[in-house]
Amino acid sequence: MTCATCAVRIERVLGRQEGVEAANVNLAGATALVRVDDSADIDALRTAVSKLGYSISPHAGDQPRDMAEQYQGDAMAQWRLFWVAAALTLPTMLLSMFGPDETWSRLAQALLVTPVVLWCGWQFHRVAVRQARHGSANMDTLISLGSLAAYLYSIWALSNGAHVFFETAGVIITLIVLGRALEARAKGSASAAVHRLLELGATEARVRSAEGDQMVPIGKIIPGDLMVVLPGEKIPTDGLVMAGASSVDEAMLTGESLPIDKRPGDTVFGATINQAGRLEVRATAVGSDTVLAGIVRMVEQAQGSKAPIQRLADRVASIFVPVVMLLALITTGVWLVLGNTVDQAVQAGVAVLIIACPCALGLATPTAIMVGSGRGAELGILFKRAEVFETAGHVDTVVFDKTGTLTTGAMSLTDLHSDVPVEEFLRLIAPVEAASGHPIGMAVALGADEAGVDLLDAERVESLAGLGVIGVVDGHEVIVGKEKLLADRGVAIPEKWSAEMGRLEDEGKTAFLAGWDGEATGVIAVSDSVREGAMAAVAGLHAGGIETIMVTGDNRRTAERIGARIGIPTVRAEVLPGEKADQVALLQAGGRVVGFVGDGLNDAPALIRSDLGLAIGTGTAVAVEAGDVVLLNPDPRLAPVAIDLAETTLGTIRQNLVWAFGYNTAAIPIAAVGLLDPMIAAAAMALSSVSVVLNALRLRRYRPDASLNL
Amino acid sequence: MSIEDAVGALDGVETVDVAIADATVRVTFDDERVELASIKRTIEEQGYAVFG
Repeated sequence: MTCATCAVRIERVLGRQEGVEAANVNLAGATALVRVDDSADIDALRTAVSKLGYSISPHAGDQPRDMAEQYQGDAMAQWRLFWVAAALTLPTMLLSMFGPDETWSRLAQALLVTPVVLWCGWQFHRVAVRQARHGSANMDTLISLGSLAAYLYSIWALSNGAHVFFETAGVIITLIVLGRALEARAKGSASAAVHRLLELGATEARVRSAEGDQMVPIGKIIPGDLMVVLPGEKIPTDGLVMAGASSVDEAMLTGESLPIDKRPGDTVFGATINQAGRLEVRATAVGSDTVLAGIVRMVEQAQGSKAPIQRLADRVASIFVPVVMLLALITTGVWLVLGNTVDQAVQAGVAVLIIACPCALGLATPTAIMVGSGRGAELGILFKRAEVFETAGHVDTVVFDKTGTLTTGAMSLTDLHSDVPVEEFLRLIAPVEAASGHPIGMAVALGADEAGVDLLDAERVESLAGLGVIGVVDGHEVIVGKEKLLADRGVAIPEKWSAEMGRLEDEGKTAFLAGWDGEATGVIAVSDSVREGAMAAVAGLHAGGIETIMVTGDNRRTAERIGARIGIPTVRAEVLPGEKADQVALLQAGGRVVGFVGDGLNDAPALIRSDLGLAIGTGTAVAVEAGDVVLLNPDPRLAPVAIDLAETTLGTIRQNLVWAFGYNTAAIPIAAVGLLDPMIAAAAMALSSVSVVLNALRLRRYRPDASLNL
Repeated sequence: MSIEDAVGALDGVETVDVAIADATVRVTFDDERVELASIKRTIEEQGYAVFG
């Protein structure tokens, strides 16, 4: 089907079928979207279309991937394995420690522990084999080696009366599975939290049809529907303006705080916010075809392909395994050399393998991450992935997006100088500004409100793009604007006000002359306000040895002023939205490990590209999805705290690894000289596990640096 | 493809006249062979909004 005529014909035929409210055919995608009520019969629709000579089949459509559900599924599976393993290992331990050392007891232990080692432990053995094929080793290899060594040796020991280590094998598997379950649960809850933040967009739209206006759920909108969007409402989905005039706040897409004017023929995007006018919009794309959905998809794809950093525990294990195997071989060799039997020599070697496997290894990372993440959440920081803890410590440069991150993104009235008292000045100026509908005007109106000045009515208000605004208030002709506007209208500008304008602009602010009845009475200035914590945040990062850089689309002068005010030495100004990621890449090419803090849609590529993406949680949904860390409050001070907490957590993980390996490694000599018995193994396991958990809990006491005043 | 080419290719269309300054398109066609809706659709498929 390639022609427009065919599309129209198919639409018409579908529209005539029973139960069909509206139909739209997309030529390019060769798809048809049909809005039906319950009385529609899919088969009848199919028949009708095939009568025209086309085949048509229902299409499931994209179901949004819910990572949260998948993680929860993983977690549940691990928990099940854990309970089974625990239920079987506990009696084994009891028998081993308190039961009589008789054959039936040992056989019972063997039977109880077999499913634990072979079924619950299967996930480790499988990966160990895969790793071995590549000639490498990781945590799974260590677990598999230790548990199988203990198990198989014990089977053999059944026949010759040596110690059996069934409980050792069982406890190893049980504790490692517990670690996996904790990890999976942590992943699931972080993912769910982020997905909740993504619930944006309108839920229904006002659709105009021959019968009048009806509210239709967003899922039922199809391209071609004419939607009426009232002032203050969200644009329901991507579309073309057919009638009306308004301006739309597209900050969620572009980060631009100024609304964009929309006239018939302009494109608008779903989930953006309509301002003061009324718009009639014909839908052009719905659901997963919208611009926003496409970008979220792109971000998710990019995220999925990010190379996962090999976990610390795996790295340690990859070195430890060959070392241990070597030690085991040496032990066996030495025993043989010293004139012992093969049996005894092998026993000693295997003992080394058994004791070397640290069962607390599986708890070392997840416990620290759990406590670290929990503490982070309390402080307003969401760590989305465990890998973040390991990267954050290496960051040496943090790049800040300006608007919305270091500044509030909203204009506010910052300066007011006049010949007359403030209230009198604002009384006449503010109404005209407020009526202009421009954000600068809103800032002035807000300023008047704060000064306790009531807004009078303004008449004959004219907003002159780029120059200013004029109007009549209380009988006076009021004018607010740039020098050019006043000059064109023959309003004299005293030298002192010109000088003041220059001074304010040098500060990077947007300044205007204001006056009435032919005289310039004063000067006002508005500026994007710097967030309260910005300076402390930057100072905090510098104190930690991290360099800071600011990127912005603003002009050079404004950017440098603001940079100087905040304390950021390096400023990249006039950066196009698409270029932010390039800036990050440039720094990385110079060998730096780069963190990026941002909130807009145009920050998403930079957030992904950077080694550590910190998204402001109150920013656009896409930025939140793209970030590795989400700062739930728009407070820049959370950036240094996030990095510091991540570093502290990493330190705790390292300490945990020491505890996990420590006791077991110390016991290797005991095993090497043939003195290993299950009690010693149990003691090592218990001590290491307890140490790891207690050490992780110390993270609960983490406090942000005092100088940040959080 | 230009509007002229796309609309002109429709069976039943006799003339296509695009006035860029007015942003209008004038089409004479045989309404037994092609309908207005198809012509509008063709223009839209080229990426333009059609009013009236």
